[in-house]
Amino acid sequence: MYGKGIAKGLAMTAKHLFRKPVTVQFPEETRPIPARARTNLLWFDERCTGCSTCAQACPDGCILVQTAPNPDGTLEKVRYEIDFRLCMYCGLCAEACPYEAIQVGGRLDDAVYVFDNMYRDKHALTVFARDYLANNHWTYPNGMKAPFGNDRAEAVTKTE
Amino acid sequence: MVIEHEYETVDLNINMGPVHPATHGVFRAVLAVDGELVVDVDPVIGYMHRGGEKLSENLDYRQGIGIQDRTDYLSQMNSEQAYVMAAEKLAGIEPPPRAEWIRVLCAELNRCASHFMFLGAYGQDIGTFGTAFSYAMRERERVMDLFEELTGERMMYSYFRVGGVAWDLPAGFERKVKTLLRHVLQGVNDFEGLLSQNEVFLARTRDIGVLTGEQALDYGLTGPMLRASGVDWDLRRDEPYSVYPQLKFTVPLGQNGDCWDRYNMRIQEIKESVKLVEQCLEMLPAGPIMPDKMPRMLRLPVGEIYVRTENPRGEYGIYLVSKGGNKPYRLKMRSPCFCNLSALREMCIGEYLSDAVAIIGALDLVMGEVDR
Repeated sequence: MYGKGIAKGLAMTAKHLFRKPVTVQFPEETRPIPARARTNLLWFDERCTGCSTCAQACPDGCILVQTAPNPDGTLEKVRYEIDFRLCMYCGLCAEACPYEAIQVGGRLDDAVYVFDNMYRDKHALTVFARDYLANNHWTYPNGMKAPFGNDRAEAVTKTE
Repeated sequence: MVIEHEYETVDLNINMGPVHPATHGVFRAVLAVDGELVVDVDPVIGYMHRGGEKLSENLDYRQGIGIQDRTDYLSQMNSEQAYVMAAEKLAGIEPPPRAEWIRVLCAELNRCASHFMFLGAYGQDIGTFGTAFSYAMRERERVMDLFEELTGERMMYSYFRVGGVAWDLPAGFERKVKTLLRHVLQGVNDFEGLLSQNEVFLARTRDIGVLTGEQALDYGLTGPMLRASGVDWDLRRDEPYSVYPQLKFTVPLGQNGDCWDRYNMRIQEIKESVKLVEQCLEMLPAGPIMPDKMPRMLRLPVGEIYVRTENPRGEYGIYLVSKGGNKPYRLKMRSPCFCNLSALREMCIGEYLSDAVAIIGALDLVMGEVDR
């Protein structure tokens, strides 16, 4: 009988009337993001030593590290910049960092109107990082506690 | 071909341009038509050339995995597997068994996701105005959500590493995969009910773009395109790699070599992939996922190697030339869609203009792979 296939197709679409829709009504609902999700990069100034292993690991060459020696032997990070226009969120920098100073877990709703503002220097990165810590009980994404969590740190976030 | 007319006619060149909803990417086909009959096809590619092979020469063997993801952006795990296998074979590194089984599980799930993308896009080309596409995307989103739990990303996974995989399976993963497989099978049944026996679909795809088995072999087709023409060749069974020798599966074959057979191949392949994933879940051993003594920066010995895997689109090959050091000297990617595209002229000449759309859709083109 001609038309049997079309009737079967219509029956299939009719069955969908009685199935629960899978749509997530954004922005009222948000899709749950798993714990391992590779979202934005967070750079923690207090943990970074300026070794630039992250810059060597990056496939795109997004990370710029410029250091100067301190009198006590450590390195002063003169410039630490991440070019988020190029970053492809592969997470290789976070895998490479021996001190877990750069980690994935930041928020992805950081869109800007001017494209060049996606090139973030160390001050902009620190604002993001402190913002994250303030909203997450001063715990790093990898579970460790930040050495702040007191009034001084919160005052720093408010003034920046 | 020359058609005799009793009156003067002029051949028309229609540009099915790079920006077109039915060309699956930036693909330009200049069709010379006589009335509505296609007389000649001139495919123009290269709009998506990003220099992937040259870029890979500057990236070491862990950074280069990102390039493989983005070359064929619908079957990432399979492409990563070819690259990682090439480096491992050259270096003589044996991945541990658990890593091999996890790789095959991910590759087969990715095959399901890629074929769902084809089904949705093909249904939309034929004219189902989004019904087929939304059914396909629903199942594909489930697979991508599962991969997000496993690897962290929904599409560009960067999960495989030379020697194994990057992270182990999270807790509760097996249960989630079993739920997913149920949904995948239901999705395939939806498609079979919606499209496979639909008279309109059959009228648009039966006996369109017929290629005999011999012609398919002459043009160098691989994958579902070749099997639709009746040639029984599947790299997973005939030149097995990884743990495929221990898995049982059948390889679907087509009879006519037309577009309906190519569509049907992919439907049957999804069902076979589900069986493969179930077997992987049962036989997954415990153990480490990377070998014990992996160097921090991998340096390969001097040599060259060609490794091929069965991508959802055909045979994906990686030809790696290493002159020592931590970066490849030359990396060539043999992409299946580029070789499948060579048969476009043979298939399209003599068909009508609307059938050309169906034929281009059945090729399952991914322009990222054609142009690299």
